[in-house]
Parts: sequence; C-alpha cells; structure tokens
Amino acid sequence: MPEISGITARLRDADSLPDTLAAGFDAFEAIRQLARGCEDAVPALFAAFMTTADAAVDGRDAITIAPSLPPDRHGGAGVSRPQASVPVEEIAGALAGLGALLAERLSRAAVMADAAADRTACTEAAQAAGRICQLTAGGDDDSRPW
Amino acid sequence: MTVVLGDFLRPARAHIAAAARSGGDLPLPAKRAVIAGLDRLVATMSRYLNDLALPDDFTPASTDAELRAALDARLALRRAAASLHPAAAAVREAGADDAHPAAGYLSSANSYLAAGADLLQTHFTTGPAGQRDGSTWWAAVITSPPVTAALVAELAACSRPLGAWTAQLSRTGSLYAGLPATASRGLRAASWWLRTAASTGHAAHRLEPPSAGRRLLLGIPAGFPPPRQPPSNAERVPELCAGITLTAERLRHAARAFAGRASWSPAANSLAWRRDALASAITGHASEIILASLAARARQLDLSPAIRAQLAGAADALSQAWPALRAIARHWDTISTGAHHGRETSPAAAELEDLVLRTGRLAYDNPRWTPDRAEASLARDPADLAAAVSDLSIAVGAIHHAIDAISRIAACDTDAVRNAADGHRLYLPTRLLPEHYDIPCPYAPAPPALAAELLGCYDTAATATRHAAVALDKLAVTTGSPSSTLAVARLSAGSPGTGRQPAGDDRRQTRAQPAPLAGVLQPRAGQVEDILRSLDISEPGMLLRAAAIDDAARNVLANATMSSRKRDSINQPPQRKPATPGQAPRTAAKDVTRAGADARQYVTPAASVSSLAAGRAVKAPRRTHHGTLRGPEGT
Repeated sequence: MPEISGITARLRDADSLPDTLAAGFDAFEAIRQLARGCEDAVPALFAAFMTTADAAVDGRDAITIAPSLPPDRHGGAGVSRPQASVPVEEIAGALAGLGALLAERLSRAAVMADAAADRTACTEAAQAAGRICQLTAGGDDDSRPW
Repeated sequence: MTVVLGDFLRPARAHIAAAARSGGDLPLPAKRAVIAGLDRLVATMSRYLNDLALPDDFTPASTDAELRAALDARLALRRAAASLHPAAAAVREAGADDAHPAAGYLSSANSYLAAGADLLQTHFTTGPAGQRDGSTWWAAVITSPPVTAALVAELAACSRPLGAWTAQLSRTGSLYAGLPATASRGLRAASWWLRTAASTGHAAHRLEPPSAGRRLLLGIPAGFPPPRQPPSNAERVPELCAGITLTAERLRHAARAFAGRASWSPAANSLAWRRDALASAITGHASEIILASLAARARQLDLSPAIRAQLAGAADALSQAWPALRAIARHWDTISTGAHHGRETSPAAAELEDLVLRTGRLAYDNPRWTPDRAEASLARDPADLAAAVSDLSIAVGAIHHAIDAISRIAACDTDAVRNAADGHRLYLPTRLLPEHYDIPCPYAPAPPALAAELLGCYDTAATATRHAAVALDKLAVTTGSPSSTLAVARLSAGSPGTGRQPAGDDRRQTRAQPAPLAGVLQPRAGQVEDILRSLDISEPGMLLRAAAIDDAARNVLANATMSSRKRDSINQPPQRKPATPGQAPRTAAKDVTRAGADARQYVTPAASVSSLAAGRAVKAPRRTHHGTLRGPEGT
C-alpha cells in the first residue's frame, strides 16, 4: 500500500535505537490514523479497527517516554487517507504486515537498548505491535462477503 | 445464581404461616419456646423498618399517607416487640420445648428474616460521622417509596397471622395453661400491635399498587458483586445472555466502588478511560446489531407493533450512543494523563473485556468471536438469536443490562475526567505538536479548548447512553423481560422524595435516646394512649401516635435527667451525694432553669452588638478546666 510504504521503508532502514524509536512512533501513528479511517467501512470489522487504533495508541505512548527517542520530528506520520477504492481487507492486511515488522524491529531494539527505560518502552511497544498484527491479520478464509 | 431478598422473604412467610397454624392450644413447654421465638422474630421484623430512612415518629399526620403507613407500621412493630420482651423474660427460666415444630418454624422464619435484613444492610455503609450511606446503586431503590410500601406490606403480611396466633396463645395461656400473667399480658398487647401493623400494611397496599414495588423488593440482590465467570468459547445464546447480565452487575459494582476513589487512585488515568470508551463503543455497536436482529425477528414472529416500534426506537437510541462513545475514544488518541508506569487500569476496564466478548458473540455468528479480524463474522441469524418470543425478551434483557452498565460507567468517567481536567492533569505528546513548538518534555499540558471538547464528548455520551438505557427500560417492560426490574428501579430511585430524613439522622436519633434511668420519675407507661382508650378511641393510627408521644415523653425526661446528672458530675464536688429517686424531678426542673441561665451567660447577640457599639472588644468564650465553655466574664 503506497500510504504506508514510506514508513515501512523507514522502519526497515533504521539501524540505530533512536532511528527505530522515531520510525516506530510514526508507524504507530500511521496505523492509528488508517485504522480510524476504516472503522465504518464494514460493520463486522468495526471492533477490529477500533481495537487496532487503541493498540496503536498504546505503542506510540510507550515509545513517547523512551529516553532515546530523538527530540527532532519528521512532521508526523505523513499518512494520507487511502483511496476509497482500496478494499478494507487490503488495508487490514497492510496494517498486519506493518504491525509484524514493528514487533520484530522493536523486539530487536529492546535487546540492543542499554537503558532500562528504553528496554521497557521497546518491549511494551513491541507487545502493542504484536496485538495490532493479531487484530488485523486475516484468517483461514479471506473471501468472506463483508 | 444471584441471591435476592425474595429468597429470604418468601420462606419466612411460609414458616410464619406454618407456625401460626399450630394454634394456641400448645403444651406449656412448647408455648414457652414459642413465646421466646416470637420475641426474637418480631424484634427482627421491627429491625427492617428501624433500618429504613424514615422521619421521626412525630412527622405531622398531614404528610403523605404512604409515609404515614410506614411510620405507623414501624411504631406498631416496635410496640409489639416491646410487649413481647417482658413476656419472653417471664418464661425464660422455665423449661421450654425448643424441639416443638411451632418453635422450629418460628426459628426458621427468624433466620430467614434476619438474613434478609442483613442482605439489605450490604447496600449501606456507616460513614465517619455515624451516618448511613448508600454504597450500591440499589441503595436508592431500597429507600424509594414503592419499595418501602412493598416492605411495609410484606411485614404486614407476616404480622397478620402472628397477630391472630398471639391472641390465641394469650387466651389459652392466661387461664388454663399456667403461663405467668406477665407473659399473657405481653401476648395480648403484642397481638393488638401486630394486628395494627397488619392493618397499616393493608393501607400501604391500597396506596401503592404493590406489584412493581414488590417485584423490586423481592429482586433486591446482595450488595456485593457475583463471582466472575470468564467467557468460554462454547457459550450458547442463553448462557451469553446470562453472562452479559452477570458481567453488567459486576460492572455496576466496580464502577460504583471505583467512583469513590477516582480522584486519587493511580488507576484513574487516561488508559483506563480510553479502555472504557473503547469497550463501551464496541458493546454499543454490537448491541445495535443485536437489536436490529431482534427487530427482524419481531417481524417474523408478527409481534405487536408496540414491541416493534420500541425495538426500532431502542436501536435508534443506540445508534446515537456508540458514536458518542467512539468520539471519546478518538479524543484519547492524543490526550493523555501522562506516562502510565505499570499500566494500571480500573476494575471496570477489566470487566468490560468480558462484556465486549459476550455482546460480540451474541451479535455475530461465531461462538469464538473476538475483535480480531480473523474471528469476524456476519451477524447472527435472527431466528438463532430468539427462537421464541420468550427468547426475545431474554435477549432484550441482556442488552438492557449491558447498556445500563455502560451508561453508568460513562456517567462515572465523566465526573472523573472532569476532575482530571480541573486538576490540569490532561496532556498531549509534544511529538504530535507542530514542529515550531519547542518543548523539551514528552508531554505538554492539553490546551483548555481541547479539554473542553473532550468533556463535551463525555456529556454527549453520558446523555446518549442514558437515553438508550431509558429506551431499553420501556422495551424491557413491554416485552416482560427479566431486566424490567432495572426500569422500575430507575424510576423508583428517581421518584420524588417523601421528605424522609437520611437514615443516618434517624439512627443517630435512635442512638441518642438513653435507656430509662432507674429512679427517674417517668410518666405512667401509655398515659396518653390510655386517655385515648378511655375515650373509646380505637383508631389504630391515633393510638399509635399516642404511643409515640408517650415514648417520646419518657425519652425527653430521661434525656433531661441524664444531662442534669452529667452536669452535676462535672460541676459539683465529687463528694456530692448522688441524686436519690425522690430528687429526680427537682433535678430535672433545676436543669431547665440552669440551662436558661447558662444561655444568658454565654454570648448573646444583643450583648455582642452593645459591646461592639461601646468600642469594647468581645472576649472570646474561654474553656474552663472542666472543659465547659464560659462567658467573657468568667461566670
């Protein structure tokens, strides 16, 4: 999905703890905004997107207090609203992928971090990313008629 | 299974009826046991009304008749209990046959009634000043006029057979069965008062249609939450409905309990409030889907247009409620109370997860439903949700409970968040602010306009969820749902008061009444009452008030005498001889005069004003070594 490709690339390219935290912050914010935008698309997925947005806030708030989060900002997540033609299942799948990447990068960052507060922040944020992945991942049957 | 008051009141009545069928012709040992049992039973019955928040006995007779009936019943039961005490004392030393069935029935009835009274007390706590405070949502219902009327009627129904039976016991007892005269007299008096209590209950019945109030009374649960039953993946519709009802009850308790400590608890934070809003919005969304399914089912079952219209009305109200709750959740996306070390959440937030799962599983066609996309499914088939009309009313009841619970949580959270806003405890992550803000901290105070917006969302959501709960109240009553108790409770708790005092006041007053002091001149027992009887006045209400006047006269004299003795013990040398019984009236009279003199010695408005006018400072009263306050002149 082009809407999150930029943040995905940033997260992949982050090679230090501060970069990972900064990219993680923006990734959670991007997930939150996209999930909020999808809440009304399909009634059956209302709870999934609502809870995803909530988990994204958890992850973002965990990173907010990490000491190694650099103070400079990139002007927000830079997420644009997805086109109406993009199926909600595709958006959910993209969020699941981003959640999985976040969980993996943040878990690795937690191991690398020296400061306990950074480790805690990365661990909690990784857990939130894991929940996002679980909430938005498709099941065995992805052809359900919403 | 939640224990309710009806579980105690019904068997108590049955045991009383069984005991009364024993008649008056009992062997003497059995009769002694019965008198002792009656003494305990009527004291317990009296306790029910003593515990109620009723005004003083001397409330004018012009007060509403329903209240008058309750006051009369309380007086009558107190008098009946007071009459039975000497009767029981008179037979206490003699052998009693406690194994007689009549005594057994009375003992069982007393146990049930005592347990019921204890159950009612679980809804109240005693405050630091001794006042009785409601501690659950049911407390306001218990003290409401319809429930009071129902309780009076219930006690009257218990009093009626007891009144007739005690009359039989006294008749056979006084002449033929060897009971002491005191016991026989006590039984006769108790019989009269019990029959009076029965007639006041009859009056209460006439004044208040009993069905709604009685249903509420019998349905009062214990004032503590039922044990948690975690959702399983195999719950069918009836179990889901029961589980939702149980979880909602636990939520009501949790919200109420947490409201008291929301101003200081670490768990009162944005994380908890965000979770509350999230879960409430999902529950409301699922509930709207359920009501839409029920509306479809109502059409299939060709139910009355009234039910269909109310289903549509409730669904419409919910369609306003959950977006309002979601708006709150969206505000918490950016607003925060700061870092949450330990991620502590309120008890309600934890319970809400159960409610979300169960309402979701009721709404959707997946017994393992969770918010996960992988478990998403289409809405449940209406026929599966409610195969018969009775199933429909049960499902309505479950949704009614769920929405009632989230409306209460919304109200509690509104107050708590307002406190946080007033205390400037709302923040924004600085990283989300535009780049020209240079704040070297993770969080910055939330702008007042944003906090006001959040509070506005809370007000809207609290109103919308309350409207939805009220719409479901009507639907529950129309469909005969078990949850209609909630509707009656909401109406009863909100019904206009009857000028009742807080229970604490009544209890303080009761405690303040000293026991009659030996040797104090007292009016002859029942003096006013006897005068009325000598005038052939038999109207129970008038006789009750006369008895209350007699009681009060005794209490006034006892109070005055106690004050006098206390004052004497403080102001007089220790070697002073104690007052003898013969001196008591003079002591009381002296007390009245001294009180007036003392009052003049202390600062009076006139003296204060004249002192100031003369340019003299008014000296503050000073405390003597006895601890009593003295006037400026040291008198």
